[in-house]
Amino acid sequence: MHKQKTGVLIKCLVYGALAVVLLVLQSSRATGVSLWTASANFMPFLVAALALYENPYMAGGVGFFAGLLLSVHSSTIEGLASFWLAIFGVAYSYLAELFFRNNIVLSILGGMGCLAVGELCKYVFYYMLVHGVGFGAGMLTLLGSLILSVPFGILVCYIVRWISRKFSEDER
Amino acid sequence: MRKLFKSKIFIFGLILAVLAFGVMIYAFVSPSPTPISNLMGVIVTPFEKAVNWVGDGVGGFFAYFKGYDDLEKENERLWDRIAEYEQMEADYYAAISENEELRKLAQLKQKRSDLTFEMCSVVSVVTEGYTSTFTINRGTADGISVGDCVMTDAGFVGYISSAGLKSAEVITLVNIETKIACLVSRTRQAVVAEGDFVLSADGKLKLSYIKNDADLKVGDIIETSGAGENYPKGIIVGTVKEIKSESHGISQYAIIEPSVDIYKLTTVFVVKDFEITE
Repeated sequence: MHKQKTGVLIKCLVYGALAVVLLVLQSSRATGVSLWTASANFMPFLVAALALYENPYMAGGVGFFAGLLLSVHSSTIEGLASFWLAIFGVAYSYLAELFFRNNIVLSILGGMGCLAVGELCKYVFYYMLVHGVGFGAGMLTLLGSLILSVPFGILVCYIVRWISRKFSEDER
Repeated sequence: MRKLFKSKIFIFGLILAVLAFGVMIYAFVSPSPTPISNLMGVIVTPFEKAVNWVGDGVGGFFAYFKGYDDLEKENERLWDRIAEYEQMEADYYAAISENEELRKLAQLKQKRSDLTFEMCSVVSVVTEGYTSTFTINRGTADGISVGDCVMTDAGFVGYISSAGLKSAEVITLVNIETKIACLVSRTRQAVVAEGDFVLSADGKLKLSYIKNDADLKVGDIIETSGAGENYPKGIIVGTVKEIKSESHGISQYAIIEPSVDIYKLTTVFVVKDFEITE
């Protein structure tokens, strides 16, 4: 039991560190890129992969932490990204337990969906309603975000799957 | 559905949502940055510094090679521009020189409206012993003929000894074969200026057949007389520098320094035609 709890704690630390690394990669001066005013965001892929390969608690908890990390270099209010990623992580994991099989494709699609919905909400409730940005420009930003995020996001899903399987093997 | 709302997962999700809302409200009411964002910044900043350090190093490594290629191309481009500017500079100075010569020609034309000029460039100079000749870039195709007088705005230079289609040879006034009918400007006394073997080495010529009692002084200006109608009259030949007695003692001679430095000529004017005035 004690060993199990230690294992869970270590896993949390590993996924937390992975979230920090992903944030640094997507936002640092040396590695960050932008396209059509959009930038990369790998956190949705991390949370979606955790939702499928771990459990709702891990997905929700890491999602909450990842959201707090995202607010470090963002003008978005603290807690908003945490809210979205945490709820998505819990809900997607719950649905996965009921209906899906653990599948790398579903984790990638889940990440893309989380990212797209998040960007769409940001566009509608902020850029469109507050600043009057046109639909074309908004969709271009969404597309740019997907183009920048998906390639490495797929890798993130594979990393999470590997970590999850590694810990499962160790537990056995 | 009730089972869902009572499940641990739902309660956990609710707790997270409430926590997130709490963070949002706290961030909204508190001054920025909040303790939470400070804490996140403390966690993230060292990793960012490390990644930037590695990225700058890698970027610098590749930028060295790219920079080298760019520098090479830039260097080549700049050398081409330097060559271009050097050519422009040469053209500029040539244009200035030509402008100056044309100005002299215009002034000369104004001063000597009785003369018809052709402006020529000196293309080669020969000064071997007593021969002092040079070649110009105009010939019979430009209306030049043998015997034409050659001058500059400063004075008499020589005459055309031979003329081809597009070039001609000029014998200078210090050439040993030269003989020019002249006048002393001050006294209007007729004299003859001729080349001398010894004096031509110094670029000077001799004024011969001067009577012992002739009124001639050092500094007197010598000009062409127009006698013989070979050359126009009134063209400055030179200045008397020295007056000496001939060896036989019957007459004296003077050494003339030409008004034109024939060894520094680049442009001359050939008098193709002139009006004979009394």
